[in-house]
Amino acid sequence: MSQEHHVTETLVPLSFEYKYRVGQALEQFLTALGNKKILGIRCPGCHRVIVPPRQICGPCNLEMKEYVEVGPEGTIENYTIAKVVIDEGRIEDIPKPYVVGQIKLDGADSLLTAKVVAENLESVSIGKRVRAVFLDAPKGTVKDLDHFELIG
Amino acid sequence: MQRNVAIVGYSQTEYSPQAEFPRERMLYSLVKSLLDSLGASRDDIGTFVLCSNDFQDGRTISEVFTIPWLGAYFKDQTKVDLDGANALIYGLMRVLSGNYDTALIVGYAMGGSEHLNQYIQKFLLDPLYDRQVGLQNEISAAALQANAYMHKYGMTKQQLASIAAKNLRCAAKNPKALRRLPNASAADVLNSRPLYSPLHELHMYPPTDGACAILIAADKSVEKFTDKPVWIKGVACCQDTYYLGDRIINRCASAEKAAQKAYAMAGITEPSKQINLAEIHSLFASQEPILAEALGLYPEGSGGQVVDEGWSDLEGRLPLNPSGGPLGANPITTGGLIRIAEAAAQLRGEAGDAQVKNAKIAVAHGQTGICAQHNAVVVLAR
Repeated sequence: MSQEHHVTETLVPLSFEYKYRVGQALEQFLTALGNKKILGIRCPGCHRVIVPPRQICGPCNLEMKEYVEVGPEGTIENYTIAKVVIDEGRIEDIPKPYVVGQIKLDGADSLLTAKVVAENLESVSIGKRVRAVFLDAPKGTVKDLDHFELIG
Repeated sequence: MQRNVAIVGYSQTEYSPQAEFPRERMLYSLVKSLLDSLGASRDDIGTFVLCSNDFQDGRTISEVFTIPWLGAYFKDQTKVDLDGANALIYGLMRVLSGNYDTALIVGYAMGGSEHLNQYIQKFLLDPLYDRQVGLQNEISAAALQANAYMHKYGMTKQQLASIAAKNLRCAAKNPKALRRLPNASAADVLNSRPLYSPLHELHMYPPTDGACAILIAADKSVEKFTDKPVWIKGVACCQDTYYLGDRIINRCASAEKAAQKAYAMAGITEPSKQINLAEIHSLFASQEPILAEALGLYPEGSGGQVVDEGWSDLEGRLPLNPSGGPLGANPITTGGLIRIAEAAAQLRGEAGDAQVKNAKIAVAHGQTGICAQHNAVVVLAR
């Protein structure tokens, strides 16, 4: 086998689109984002509020139906500073690092992964308070919640 | 267990960033070399359990093309699309059923050469939110997990880099590993390409082409193949929720639950004292302490101290990944099967320069999903 070399390669493209129905919970969330509001959902069993809302609580295996508004302020529970972006599978260096945070919104029990924008990255730390910043003209998509900014 | 089942043979390819052979050729040579070394043929194999991922492979029902090369033509055969450790557990169950005396488990991936590794890893993500937002990916999630551990338990960047360096030095003693750095230092790791803080390129597994095969046999069939069986004493697997924001990521509850079940099955009551070495499917250096603690090998939050004291080194009190682990090589979906093969090699005294002295009991681990969502644990003894 060590004598054998296969140098010819064939490129085989694989590209197609999927259509998913987002389901009731995410639909409510997206509709609320279009009105610059963030929705969570409360589990009737453990009473935790999950963001973004999902229809089933994993630990309790119960259907959740009670939507509650959370945020727009919250606390940075964890974060990483992105030095790269992954674009179509390529890991590309970026000139301006940015913060990916896990935010505990006021009134929520789960953490939301979101971008945190700060003039000075050094000023970002666990425990800092943040506020949601929405697009000026939200369209009811996940992109409406643009980032969080530091407050206080 | 209803029957005594042992690993009676194993074989691995050399791992490479770009195999010079098509995968079918690689698999044929792998299985042939294993069967030849045992004086066996495909007639000796009761059932085949294959492990591959259709997204990785670029074709659905990916095993249909590999069957003739593996010798599985017209044989009992099935496939697992999780980690190779799950495939081994599946093979074990088929043998325990009594319908088969032997099972050949084969995993492979061409994650190095056939596509951009992170392009495929994107498909791990929830399509409705995480993929749309575009912030979370395998590496940023692992970075959040690393930071959560370091923040809670006070492990430093230097200590995290030392864990990676330890693995890369171990990998240098493993002739099959892809990334082999005999003099790797924490500084080398910190000087490698920054990805998402605190992770750098050398904290992470390298995209890898390669394959691994393990033959298991039950009861009287064992002695047909080897006089050095490695007995499978306990197995279990467990899955957490997908959602990172819903998990405590500085620990790994699903690995902990799987380990507790596997240990109970194996009669292990004090893993940190009874187990001589661990092969852990830690895709990032930061996952090594988190998973080792979930496996009950070291106390909660001790990752910094463990590496500083050299306890997890080859000569340490409980070596972690003496093979170099996934930081040395990691074909996706095969990583856990390789960990099992490496643990078996240790128990048979066949680990060469990476041999842990007097190893009698080992634990091997495999994972699937973002931040080790799904974990499989296998306890082995000689």
